[in-house]
Amino acid sequence: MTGNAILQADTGWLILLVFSIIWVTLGWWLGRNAKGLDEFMLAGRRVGLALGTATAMATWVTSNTTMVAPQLALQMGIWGMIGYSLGSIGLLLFAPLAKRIRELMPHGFTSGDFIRLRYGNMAWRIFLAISLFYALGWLVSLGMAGGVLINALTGIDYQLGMSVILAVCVSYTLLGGLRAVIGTDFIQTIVILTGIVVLATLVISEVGIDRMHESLLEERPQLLNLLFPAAIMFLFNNLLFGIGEIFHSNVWWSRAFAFREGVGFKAYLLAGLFWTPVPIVAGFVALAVPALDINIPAADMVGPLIAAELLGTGGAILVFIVIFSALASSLDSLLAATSDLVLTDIYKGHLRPSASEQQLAKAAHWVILGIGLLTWLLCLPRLTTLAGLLYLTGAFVASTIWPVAAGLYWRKTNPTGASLAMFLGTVIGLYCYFNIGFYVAALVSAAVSMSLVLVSTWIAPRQFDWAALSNNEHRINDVAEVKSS
Amino acid sequence: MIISSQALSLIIYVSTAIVAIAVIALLVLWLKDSAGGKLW
Repeated sequence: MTGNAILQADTGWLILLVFSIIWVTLGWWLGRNAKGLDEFMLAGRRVGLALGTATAMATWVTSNTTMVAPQLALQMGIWGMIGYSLGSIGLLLFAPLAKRIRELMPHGFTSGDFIRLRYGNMAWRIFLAISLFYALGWLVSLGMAGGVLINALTGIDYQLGMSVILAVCVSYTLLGGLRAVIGTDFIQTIVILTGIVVLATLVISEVGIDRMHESLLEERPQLLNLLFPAAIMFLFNNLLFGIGEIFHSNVWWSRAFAFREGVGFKAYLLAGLFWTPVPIVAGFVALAVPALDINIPAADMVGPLIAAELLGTGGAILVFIVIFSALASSLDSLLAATSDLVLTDIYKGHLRPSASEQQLAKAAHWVILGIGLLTWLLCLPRLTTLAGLLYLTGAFVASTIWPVAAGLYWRKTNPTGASLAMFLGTVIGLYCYFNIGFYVAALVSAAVSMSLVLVSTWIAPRQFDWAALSNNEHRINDVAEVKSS
Repeated sequence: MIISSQALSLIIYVSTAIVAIAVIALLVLWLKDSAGGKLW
């Protein structure tokens, strides 16, 4: 063992090796028949309810859920984990949007498609900047989480562990596209949920909730305080952050396009309902810290350290497998969806408008590799805590909630209002992030964005023709026309 | 305003039960989709 690590490094390597082989082989097998861009990027647009629900859940149960939820419970107590669980509101609210998206754009590819067709080029480019920054921030936070987890549990070097996890996810996404991502997501969901239920049950039986409550009352009563101001602020901030993440991100839009007709609404609704308690179940274990009187060297390591402290080697192995699955299920989805966005909206939309489908299919692989490499480079130095990095992006994504929602349902919302809402919402949200705190960035950004969309729609209403979205049936081949216009 | 031990227990027990039910529900949906040829 190395330092405070709970598992032998050899055990860590063995688990990494076994699960790496499983995910890569499964990814290859599931994606072996994925021919053409529709199959590679959108799994043939025929994903059923079981796989649809599981992939929405697995993608939203990230390492941030399994590692940051305990961290937030430790820092903000009861509202920390409940606030995190409100992230499910985004999934629930996206259910009707997914139905609407499928109806309006039956042949759409990315969220960028919608913004470009609905609001024009300026809004499209602002949106792409926001979306790509967020995607990269999320990818880096996931990569870092992988390195932190492996280091905390096994003592394997942070950079080495992070590199292995990234390499595995890039490999199977490369081999099988969205089919590989969605297929592995189902198994990863079952592993994650079973693992956290087992851990929670063991923590309840080993420590007991009464004992946890007593110790917290004596040593850190603010964690049980229902009127903890910063935590309540965090709760609303997290709610808006989650909605912003889901409403704008191509991770969720690509699934809306990929799900079989009639599946989107049900899949997102079920995923939201089932996801709601996950941060509570994963997070409450941190409330056992005072009762167990253990030393937590870094807040984002609290989950794995408690499991290992309570459950010994078996607990450490279980937590390792759960978080490895959570990491993989989100990393692969994000890699696939971000590469779709870069491929269609940057490469095809801006750099090579005349690229054929065959050239795009080839470029798709290079884009996945490139994004994986960039993420790896940014993860090499461990720059900030996971929560800090995650919530910086809140200022960006919350600014997109109103332009997206209003754009899908209101004809009258205009392009200038949507562009200003995204730009100024982000700038003012960032100002508040740096000058007030991470827990207000999304809140302020969403408020500014909402005000601008409402006021601009009221001042200068437009009559958008919904058919302009569905007429764009061969979108992959017509970006050049829109760009030149 | 401190949350009581009973309320904390309720939140944790109910949450854990829902997650356990989710696992079963997903497996049932898989079987149903698989039987109907609607998995993919």
